Amino acid sequence: MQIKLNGSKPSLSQGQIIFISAIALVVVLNVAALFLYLLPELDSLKQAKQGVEGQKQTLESVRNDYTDEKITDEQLEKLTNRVPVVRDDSNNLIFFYDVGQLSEAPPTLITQSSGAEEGQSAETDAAGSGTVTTSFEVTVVGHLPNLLSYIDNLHHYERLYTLQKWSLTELTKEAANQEYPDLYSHPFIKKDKPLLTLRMSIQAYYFPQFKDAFNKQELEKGNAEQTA
Amino acid sequence: MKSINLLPAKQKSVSKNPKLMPLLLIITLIALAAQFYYVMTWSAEKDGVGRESLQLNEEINAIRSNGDLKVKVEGYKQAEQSIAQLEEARTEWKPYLGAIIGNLPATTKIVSISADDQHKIKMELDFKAYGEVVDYMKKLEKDSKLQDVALTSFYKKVDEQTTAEIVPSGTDGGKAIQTTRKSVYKLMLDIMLTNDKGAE
Repeated sequence: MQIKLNGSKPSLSQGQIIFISAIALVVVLNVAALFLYLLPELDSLKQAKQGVEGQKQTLESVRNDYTDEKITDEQLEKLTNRVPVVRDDSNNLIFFYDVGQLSEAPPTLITQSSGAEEGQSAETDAAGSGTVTTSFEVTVVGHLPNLLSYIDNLHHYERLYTLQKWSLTELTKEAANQEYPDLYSHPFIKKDKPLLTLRMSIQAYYFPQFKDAFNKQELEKGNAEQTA
Repeated sequence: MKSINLLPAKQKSVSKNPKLMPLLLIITLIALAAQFYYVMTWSAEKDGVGRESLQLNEEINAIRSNGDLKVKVEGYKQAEQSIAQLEEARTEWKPYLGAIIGNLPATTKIVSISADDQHKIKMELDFKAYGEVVDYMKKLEKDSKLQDVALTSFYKKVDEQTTAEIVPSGTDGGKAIQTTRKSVYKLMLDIMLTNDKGAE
């Protein structure tokens, strides 16, 4: 005879087994959903918040850096025509000739005098710091009314020039033939009227100190396009 | 012999199981509910953040398009000022030249006129007649734009060159050639200019 002394183990009923496996399944699915969906959502929320923080900072700095006044492109163009922000000798050359055309007195010589560079712009201290002055020696030949016209047209020209020194001297026929052999073939020069030579010291200017300020707009826009 | 069952009576399976099952169920339900709640919260928060981001973007763009960088505006104003100062400092020669040349008789020859600085003009002129010289100087002196008309030098200059002129000679209508020397009255002046800007 065998004597069973072990107590019977409490066993789960079949229903309970099904129930527990269902719950286990749910837990597994839940964990999967957590990793696939919920945590990335949380992550993107964090990023969005950081983005907003960054934008708030940008807003602050933009508030500090901007004003509500606008300078139109036309205004800026007009100003930089009057005084450019970079050295613009090629245009100065063109302008000296243009004034000559306007006044009917052609320039015959244009040189830049040495030594009139930065620092010496303070000849008239009113020029302010940073303004660079360049001096040109321009010689123009023609008849008196045209030369006077040149002086006046230069003064009122689109670009700012200062006529510092000048001298008008008689140009005799002999001298004219020697120095400017083809002068009389020039349309502006008449044979019977007296000729004079006008020698001028002209100052031209440019503002390197404003170059960055006027170009900064593009830089700002470039940054905005990158962060957007 | 009868068999005597010494085993204890089968116990009913009263174990933790009954308490475990509902507990498990409740925990699961709570976990699911909590997650659902958080997902809803986060989703709403994300929407809010998205809206805030758009709003900030709009505001930033509005400020940027409404105006210009302070640096640029201030730079522009300073540049305008510098230009104004440069214009102030320069001399407009036309009015002075108008006074000087406008009063010249047509026969006068300009030998030279020059300005070495902004306040003084030097001239050398050849006049045909003495009277014209005095006349001219008086006119200059009257002009308010010319402050100081200083006579540097005045003399009658006889030209080295001779010209041949045909002049009537004798009473019989004959012509003779006479060589004459041209003479001019040379006038040299230093003229101070009035600076209407009041600096001088």
